[in-house]
Amino acid sequence: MSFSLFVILAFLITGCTKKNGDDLQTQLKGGIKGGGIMVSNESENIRGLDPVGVNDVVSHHVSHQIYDLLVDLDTNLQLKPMLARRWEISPDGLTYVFHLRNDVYFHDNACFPGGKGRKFIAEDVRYSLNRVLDTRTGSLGFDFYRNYVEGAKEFTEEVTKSITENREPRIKNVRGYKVIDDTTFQIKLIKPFAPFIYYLCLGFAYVAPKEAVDKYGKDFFQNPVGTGPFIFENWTPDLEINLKRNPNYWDKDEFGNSIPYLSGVKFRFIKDLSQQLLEFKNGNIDDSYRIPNELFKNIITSEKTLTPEYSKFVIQRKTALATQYYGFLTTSRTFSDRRVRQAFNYAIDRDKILKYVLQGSASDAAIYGLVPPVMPNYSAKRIKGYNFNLEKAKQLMTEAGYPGGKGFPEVTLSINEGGGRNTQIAEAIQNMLKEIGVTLKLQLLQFAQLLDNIDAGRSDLYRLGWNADYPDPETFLNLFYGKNVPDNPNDKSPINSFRYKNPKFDELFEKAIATTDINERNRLYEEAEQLAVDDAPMLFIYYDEDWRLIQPYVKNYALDPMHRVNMRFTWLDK
Amino acid sequence: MATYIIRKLLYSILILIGVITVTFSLMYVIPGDPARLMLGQRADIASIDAVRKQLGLDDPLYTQYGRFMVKAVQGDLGRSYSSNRDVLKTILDTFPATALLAVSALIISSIVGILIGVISSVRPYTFADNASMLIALFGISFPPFALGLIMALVFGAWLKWFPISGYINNGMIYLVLPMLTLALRPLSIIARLTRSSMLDVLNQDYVRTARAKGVSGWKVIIRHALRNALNPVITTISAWLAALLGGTFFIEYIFNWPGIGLLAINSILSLDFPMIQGTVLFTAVIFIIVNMIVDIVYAFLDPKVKLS
Repeated sequence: MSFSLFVILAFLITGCTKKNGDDLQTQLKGGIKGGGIMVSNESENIRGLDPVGVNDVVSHHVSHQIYDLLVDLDTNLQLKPMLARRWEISPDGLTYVFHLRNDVYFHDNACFPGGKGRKFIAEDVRYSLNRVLDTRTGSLGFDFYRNYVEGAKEFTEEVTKSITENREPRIKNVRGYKVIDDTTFQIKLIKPFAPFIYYLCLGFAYVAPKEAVDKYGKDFFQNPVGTGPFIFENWTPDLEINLKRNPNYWDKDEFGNSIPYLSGVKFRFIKDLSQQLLEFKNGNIDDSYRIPNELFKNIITSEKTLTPEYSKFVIQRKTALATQYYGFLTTSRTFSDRRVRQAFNYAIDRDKILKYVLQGSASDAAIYGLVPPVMPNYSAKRIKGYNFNLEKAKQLMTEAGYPGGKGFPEVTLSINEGGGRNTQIAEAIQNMLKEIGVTLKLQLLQFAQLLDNIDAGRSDLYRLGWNADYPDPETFLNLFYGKNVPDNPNDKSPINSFRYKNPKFDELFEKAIATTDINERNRLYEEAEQLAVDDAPMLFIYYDEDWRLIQPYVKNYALDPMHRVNMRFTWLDK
Repeated sequence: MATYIIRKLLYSILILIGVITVTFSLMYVIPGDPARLMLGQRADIASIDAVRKQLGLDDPLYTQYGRFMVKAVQGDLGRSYSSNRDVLKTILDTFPATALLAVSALIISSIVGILIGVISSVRPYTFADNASMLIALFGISFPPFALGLIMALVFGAWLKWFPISGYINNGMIYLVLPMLTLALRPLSIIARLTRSSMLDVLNQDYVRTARAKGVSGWKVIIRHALRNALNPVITTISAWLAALLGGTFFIEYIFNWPGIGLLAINSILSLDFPMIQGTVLFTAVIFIIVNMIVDIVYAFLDPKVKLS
């Protein structure tokens, strides 16, 4: 028995372990090394690589290496030119004019005559942005642009109508997208909306050529063609995606080297964080994003450095543009009184949660507002939020008619599992709220069910988190916008799930998003946010922190507060 | 024989219709809206409604069921909500990985299981027999997903002998841990069954006669005893093929093996209805086909089966 087992195992082991052949590196100017394959892991599902469907983090990570945008964000989340060399916004905030590069080519691909990638022109931008509003493409991004771009709503409605009537749409293009010439593109909005420029940094706004969409049809999502630094090679679902270097990429570094430096990128899809960590330790992947909560203390010391076992690796830490909170259904009988909501906010000791439950893995206690302090150009710390103050909490409960919690109904808190962390936090908060006489019952749900209950107004108190879509406070404060709440209480309210309404907030918010001057806009945002925070439609808990381990030889691979992945300048010092 | 085969086929079709109906119904009992999940937390009601319309989710249930049945018969299982991939093509693309894992596990478990069984039966109640049967008992009782985690920890993380995540495109070594994890249970069952069957046969008169005629010990065991003892073992092995093809879900998830099991679990986590329906239906079809083939082969081999 043992002999046959040995023979089989020997065959399997010696049956060639394939090595990545492209490990040869060359010396470039500035002490940089070119070549090598970066192996990055993604622990969540990927939707696809057609820009119209890029609304998940993983699709964005991969797509960002294949496609380019008109404008991009740097690692400090500041706008920077990409396919547009520069741009102008009219003083009324309605017209955006982009001056495009004329040295950009699409990847070589069979969709082009002779397989040679053609030059990128303004028409490609119009085509790509049109597709996002065309519901026939399976777009998941039309809600971003539909209400702002001139003619977008009519276009989307006409396309949808044409599907029902089984005919070609009578409107071919979105009126607000205009090609001036090959290198000039214009966008017209129907109303000023200052964060719009950030909508062009979303995954939906990647530029793709019509030829590729025509050739691959519904399978374009797995045959992407762009102008980005890497060319799509192959994709084995649930296993890996391989990209190779685009030798004709238009950008160069400060030393004059062509980028990207890497000869390729391999994205792997190990979903389990512990397994990801093991593969990282074994040297099979080059990064390990997120540290499993149960292993946090084994890896990170109280000084937020690596423990000796992990000290040969590099740890990256960045406060994320994300906030964790519990939402109050402000229209419910339990939480209609803002004093009760404020009392909850005063009753929890966030520092204790950070120290003992999260063991230092989160950034800061959410003692300001919903917008995290790392929001660029915004003074989030000027917002006066809630510090732990048990006396004040008790006093507010008494004022609300519940002295010592007497008469206050038992509250059910709905949470999803989230790797166990959500339950641990909920249990800590459950104990803290006992101090003001509140009994909290925990209800653990699948995320889909949790969302369903929240949207329908079936949960009085629920856990959610909010990650920024773009670096403008609007992405957070939109949650408090009263006009997102339906008039009928039986209708779903997915965005403002608190069903919080404050006309003064709405007025300030509307004024802010229409203001092009950034200082004035932020002042208005601050004023609006303070109003909402005072009304406490949510229990602010903490601001997230992102942790990523990388191999010591990985260079120029920054972690930004929105966890965007950009490997244009990444290199391996092997 | 023809009647027997037709009867089996009709039963199989009825079972398939049942599987489709139950799977379809389950999808609509599960709370949650796929359109909402696809669009993310920011989506407004108008967008969610538009995507529901695109996906046909706002049609009455019987319309959706009818459409699904008609298309399924035509071999069109739709497109995945979460990745937009053609469901049938994705399943067919991932099936070889599952088949490789199941078949290799079955081969290993058959060879090693029979060997252990024979050795135990030849030397019953010795230390080797007792130890083998104890291990086999452990193999039967231990849940495969727990074993997978332990194997990954011991051989992948601590000893670093084998990789714990990936596929054979990076080398055959990636097959070892998932295959062994999957093989342990059928191996244990085959070993125990072979042992008891062999013990039974070894006491038969013709074995005693062969020995009395002076046939050497191993010749008696292999030619006379094992041949006759293998009948129930082969039945078990055939049954296990179907079970392994449909039962690799957790093993694939643990070892990130890109087969149908991993596909199904990921689809469940993202409420990807078409892919869940597709993977369940495909697994049921495989299960039914393999079992049907086994039944028909038996009917050929053993006329008694036909009478039943």
